[in-house]
Amino acid sequence: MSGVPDPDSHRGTRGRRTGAGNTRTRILDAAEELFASRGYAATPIKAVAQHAGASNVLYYFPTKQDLLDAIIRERTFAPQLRATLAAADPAHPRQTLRTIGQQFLAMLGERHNIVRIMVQSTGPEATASAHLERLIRTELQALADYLAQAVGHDQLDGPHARAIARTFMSTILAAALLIPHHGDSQEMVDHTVEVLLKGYDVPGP
Amino acid sequence: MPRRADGGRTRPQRPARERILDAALAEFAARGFAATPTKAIARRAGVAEALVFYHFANKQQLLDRLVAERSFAAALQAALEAAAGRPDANLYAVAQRVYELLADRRALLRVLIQTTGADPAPLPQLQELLSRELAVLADHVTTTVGVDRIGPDHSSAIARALLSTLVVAVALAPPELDARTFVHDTVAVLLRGYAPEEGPGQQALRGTAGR
Repeated sequence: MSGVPDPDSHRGTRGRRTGAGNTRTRILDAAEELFASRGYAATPIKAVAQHAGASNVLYYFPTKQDLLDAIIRERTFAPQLRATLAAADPAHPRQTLRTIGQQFLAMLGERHNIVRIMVQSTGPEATASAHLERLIRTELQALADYLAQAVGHDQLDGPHARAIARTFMSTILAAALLIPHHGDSQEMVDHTVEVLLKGYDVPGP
Repeated sequence: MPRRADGGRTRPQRPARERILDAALAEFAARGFAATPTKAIARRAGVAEALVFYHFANKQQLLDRLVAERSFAAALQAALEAAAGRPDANLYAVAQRVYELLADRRALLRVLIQTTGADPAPLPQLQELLSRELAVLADHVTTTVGVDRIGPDHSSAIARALLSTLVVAVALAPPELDARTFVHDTVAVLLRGYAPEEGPGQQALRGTAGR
């Protein structure tokens, strides 16, 4: 998740958050809106410039792909997942998963443009998927690494940790998009965590 | 994939209505539902645009009919029902079959998912269909694991997690593993803790995929 500084999330650069940061943010806002409504392929970078009221889009983003990559890197669930994992208590993997599930569900419910861009950009027929696919893989691996460490490598090996990470995130994604859950979302997340961690001797509630 | 049969001399041409449905699915998959003009569907099907409207009131109805006629509901139902009521039916094999069925309908699945947020959204049909399959799959989990070893909440949760993971893998994020290993690992982490440690039950659950 390192890489290009994001003026909105890097506290260290907040002092410099002047016109430049705002222009960049405005361009990303415009791209997010247009990619989501018209599709990535059907949006010329000129339209993004016009929508953002910015003449210097190419200064910030040399290509349209760079724009999409920045949206994927900075505005998907990845930064929040990393922050949560960094602060997570290795002694409470159940609680960590519950928190991540609630956060991901909330993000999916609020940020429809991002969800639409993600959906268009993933899958075998998608044109712009390489970056997002890599990101999904890296993020799932980060979650799997946390789980293997928290549950203990002697109980949970790499492949099964990755299976738990993927199954968990897929379940939350599908609950928001495809298989609506009836009733309490907290309960849906809790039950998913329970069945995935059952059979492992896991500390904490 | 049946392409447009030019002249149809070697074998009888598919009826126009079927060709229009084929063309609609291909165009929706390539351009997205919203960005597909009816004209493009007619062109690909090799028919006049008026004929599209003769068979289907509008684009929305085309998608509705695709879901009804080209969907996996019946096949999925059959696969699950074939396994239902057989305590020895292997959840690994059922999951593998469901994965293959979904993979066969990948294009339609993606078209439906991509209409998320479209107005009017055709997604509810897919949601309803998946919710129905969820109930059947949950019953199957209960039968497989044993009604004395798992409650309805956990059966539903396992069914939901399994179906979700298979759908997401087919339609959105292809797994980095080969399909068989991926399906096996998913079922393994879900069933862990529900079978007796070294009893005969676990052997049955492991089934053919014992690695």
